[in-house]
Amino acid sequence: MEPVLSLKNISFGGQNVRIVHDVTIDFEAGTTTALVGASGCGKSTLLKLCAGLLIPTDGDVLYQGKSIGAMNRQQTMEFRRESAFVFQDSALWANQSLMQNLDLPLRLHYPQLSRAERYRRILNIVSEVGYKRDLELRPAALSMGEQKLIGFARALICGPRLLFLDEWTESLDDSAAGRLIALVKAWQKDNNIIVFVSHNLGIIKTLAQRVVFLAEGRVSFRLTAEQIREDGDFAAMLEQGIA
Amino acid sequence: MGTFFSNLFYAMGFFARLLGGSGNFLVRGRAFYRTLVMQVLFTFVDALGITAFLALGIGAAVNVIGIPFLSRLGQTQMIYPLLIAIVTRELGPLLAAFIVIARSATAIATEMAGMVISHEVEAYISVGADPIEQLGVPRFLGVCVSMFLLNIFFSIFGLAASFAVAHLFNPMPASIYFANMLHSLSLHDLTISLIKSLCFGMIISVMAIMKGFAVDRASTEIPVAGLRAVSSSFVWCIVADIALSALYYALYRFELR
Repeated sequence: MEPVLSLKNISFGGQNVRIVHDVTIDFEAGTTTALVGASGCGKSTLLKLCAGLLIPTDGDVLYQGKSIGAMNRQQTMEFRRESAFVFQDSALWANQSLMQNLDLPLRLHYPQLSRAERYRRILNIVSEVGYKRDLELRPAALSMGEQKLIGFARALICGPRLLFLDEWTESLDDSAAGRLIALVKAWQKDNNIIVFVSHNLGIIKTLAQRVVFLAEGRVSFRLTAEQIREDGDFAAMLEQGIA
Repeated sequence: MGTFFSNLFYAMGFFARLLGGSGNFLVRGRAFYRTLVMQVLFTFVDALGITAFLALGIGAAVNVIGIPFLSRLGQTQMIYPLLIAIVTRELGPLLAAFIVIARSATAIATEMAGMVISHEVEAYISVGADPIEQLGVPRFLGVCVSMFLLNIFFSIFGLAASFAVAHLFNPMPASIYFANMLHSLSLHDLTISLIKSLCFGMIISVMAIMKGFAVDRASTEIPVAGLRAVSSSFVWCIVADIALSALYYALYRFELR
């Protein structure tokens, strides 16, 4: 199957410190990939390279065969509409209300929508992620867990095909984490691509169809989820966070 | 030297991006007018008190020091061109710029740096918004508009304060004082003053936004970004002031004679 997103020998870093070394991965439609490795091995950087938030110092990131770095404005907007990133620390815009945080992606990508329609979509997604408080609050008034829910809602609001999730269940209680896992599971349908970083073996086992292990910025090996489930050693390593 | 020129070219490129983004912003940035208005409120309205205080001091000082000297020379009428030169043309725009640097350049640079560190800038990119257009342009326009208005306010308040002091020592009708003042005020004085204020506004906003965006990942870089914005704004405003004043004297030197 033709990959939708491809990393072609990408490296990232400065002259002295290389965070990612010569990584090549293809992401086909309908696949969910977990990036796994010890802290500081370059998982989050690699995820941001996949999402086009960082430009590789060497190599190329291709989306539907086009280099993300060489896209024109229209192609970039199309890629941004079809992709979404959930940040480890939510990264909500602190000087805007939650409503404004959720409204901006809709206004950018669906300018034809009326205010009432945007409002309806925002209420829908907020209810899906399980946030129940006032949307006129600023992010600083929310707990870390609630911020995570809104960050998740902001990522899903435009209906992306590619979802990048960075440590997305940290600081969430079990019920909120369970709700988001169920949402992501539902998102796995329709040929969507999900790439996530997690240290949580339960989530990896539940969602991932492929696991890419990183060590010192390089892909050390790849496994299917079945192989992980079968091999007790890898599961133990993952649980200790030293994969 | 190479670093100096590469930084200069980078700053010029950044300025060009902000100028280009300003066109887009005016056409389709209605949702971000609020940021622009807030920037004008912070940079202009909130600074009126300190600006009035400084303008009052400068206007009064020129009168108190200038009149005794000029009356000894029998040239008391020269106080008007002197006031125009100091308050409106030379010191006014520069002092207003210093106020904006102290208040807004630090605020903008640290705010931008904080947004980079907390990944808010990356979040803008991830949803398809250009951070320079969304964050930089409203602040760039807000500082330029505020600097322009603050300079006008400084001139008006400085000249009015000068009248108050003059009236104290030598009572005269306001109509005569302001008629003399208007007679001494040339279009060139006004133009160079306004051009200076716009240039200073551009320099301050470009430096503040650029230095704010230039941080990497550590929160300790935030105050450093503020400091860098202030020091480079000071230097480049003074350089621009010297260049514009030199240009003014070169163009209108015959009239000065």
